[in-house]
Amino acid sequence: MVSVTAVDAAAPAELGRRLAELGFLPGEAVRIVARGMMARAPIAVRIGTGTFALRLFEAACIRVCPEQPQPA
Amino acid sequence: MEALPSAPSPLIALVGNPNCGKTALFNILTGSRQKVANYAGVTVERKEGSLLTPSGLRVRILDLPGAYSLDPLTPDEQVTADVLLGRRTGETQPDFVVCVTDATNLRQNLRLVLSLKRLGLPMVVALNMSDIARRKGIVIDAERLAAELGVPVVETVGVKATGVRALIKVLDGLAIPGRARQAAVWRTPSASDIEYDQSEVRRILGLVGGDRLDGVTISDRVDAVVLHPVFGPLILAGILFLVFQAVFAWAQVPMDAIRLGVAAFGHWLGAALPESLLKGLLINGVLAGVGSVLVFLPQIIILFFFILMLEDSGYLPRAAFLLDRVMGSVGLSGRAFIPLLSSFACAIPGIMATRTIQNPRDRLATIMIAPLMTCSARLPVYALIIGAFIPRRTLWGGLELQGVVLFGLYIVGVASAMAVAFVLKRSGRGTGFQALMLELPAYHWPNLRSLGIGLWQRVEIFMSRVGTIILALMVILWALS
Repeated sequence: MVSVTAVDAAAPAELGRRLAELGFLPGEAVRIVARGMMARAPIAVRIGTGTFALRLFEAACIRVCPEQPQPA
Repeated sequence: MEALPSAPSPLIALVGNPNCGKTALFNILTGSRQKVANYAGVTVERKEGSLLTPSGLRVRILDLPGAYSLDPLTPDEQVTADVLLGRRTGETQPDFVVCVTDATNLRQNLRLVLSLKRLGLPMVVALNMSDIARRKGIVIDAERLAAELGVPVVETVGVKATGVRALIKVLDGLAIPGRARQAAVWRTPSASDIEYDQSEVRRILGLVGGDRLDGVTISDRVDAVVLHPVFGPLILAGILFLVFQAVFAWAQVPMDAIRLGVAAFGHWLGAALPESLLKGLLINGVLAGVGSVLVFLPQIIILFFFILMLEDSGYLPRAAFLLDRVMGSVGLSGRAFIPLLSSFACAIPGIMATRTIQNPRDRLATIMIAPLMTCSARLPVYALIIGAFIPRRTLWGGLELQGVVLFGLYIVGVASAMAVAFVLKRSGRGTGFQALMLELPAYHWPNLRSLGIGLWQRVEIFMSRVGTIILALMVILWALS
């Protein structure tokens, strides 16, 4: 399930900034670690070496694409 | 207190991301020589301690609230940024900054280091949890990192006295008295700053190592069960139930002992003192009054013991994650779980813990319902009523009926809080986005030393209240009767 974040969409400015501060930046690897049972429950996302719980609308601000082989 | 009048002790600020082990490091550095207070005007805890270096330099150490960035989004981060910039009234700007980083999570932590460096304050970077990093096979070239960052870098282990030697050596070498204070410069980071920082982080990590994105860690394996959609909530319910059973069952013996002790002391005093008004005041006013409050102490200690354990191990944010959906349905953030759980011990630290909630309206709602949680001072009342009306019986599975009833009473408290929160949500305007963005740090074993210090601070706060406000009230009540 490994992917790479591309860019934040037209997210609310503060939200986009906080996501960037937590490390959701272009080119970083992300992976969903856990999901809740109920609909619209938050998800746990691994970014780099950290894990964050995000509500779905927060996660929706993150654009991802399949991981490309990193240029050396 | 032992500061020389001629040269005021230099002020050292500990700054770091949340969950980098900063508080454990602070505890090791300052031991029990800590003052816990509040920043003026906000419910953010201010922790200051002092350290005597081997060469006899007394330094003051300020444990600033955890921050992901200096561009503040929470009251915690606001305080950290303001103190560092010397903008907070009543606070002196620190002379020196120790930037505490989690060596196992440098990729995230280095960004704060870079923005701190831009402030221009003299600093040292502490690679904390270096023992855990080494065990995980993460090797960081500290010398290279220091060269790349242009500031000294030391490895620290925040849970061992020997783990801070290198840091103390750096602090010892500080030639601060008389140093002209540099003006910290601040400009809000632009998008290009953020991009630059990110490429810097990658470049530096590439050079110094320590960027092993390991596949499946032990924490991941634990999380696979603890955050499981079905088992997770069951485990959470089990833990909470255990806590309440423990508060009820374990506290019984020490509580009886305190009650007996106070009564015995009263008898002895009654026999020893001559009949007088003073005797009545001492026995019926002071002793009976203090004794009736002192019996809460074991329950408070047990409750805080569990809360601190859950916090230290990294479980509390997981609980917040699991409960976010439920709490969201009444308009609260999952983050509110932590303050509300603390409110079971006492609403005051609970309200203080709301500072990690970013949204002001969420924060207010949480503050307003925190006192609806059954705080420990209500426990004796419940215990009395349960003892009087509920038979002492063992149900199936060895559960005590009284414990089950107590758990039920707590649930009622939670339900009423939820109801109030729901009403508050309905009456307020919709605020649109309410962020969770909660870090789930790697699990680790709770540090007994930090646990002890934390527990002791709670006991101190409680006892000082018993010794002042409650004692005075008891004497007044005695005089009135």
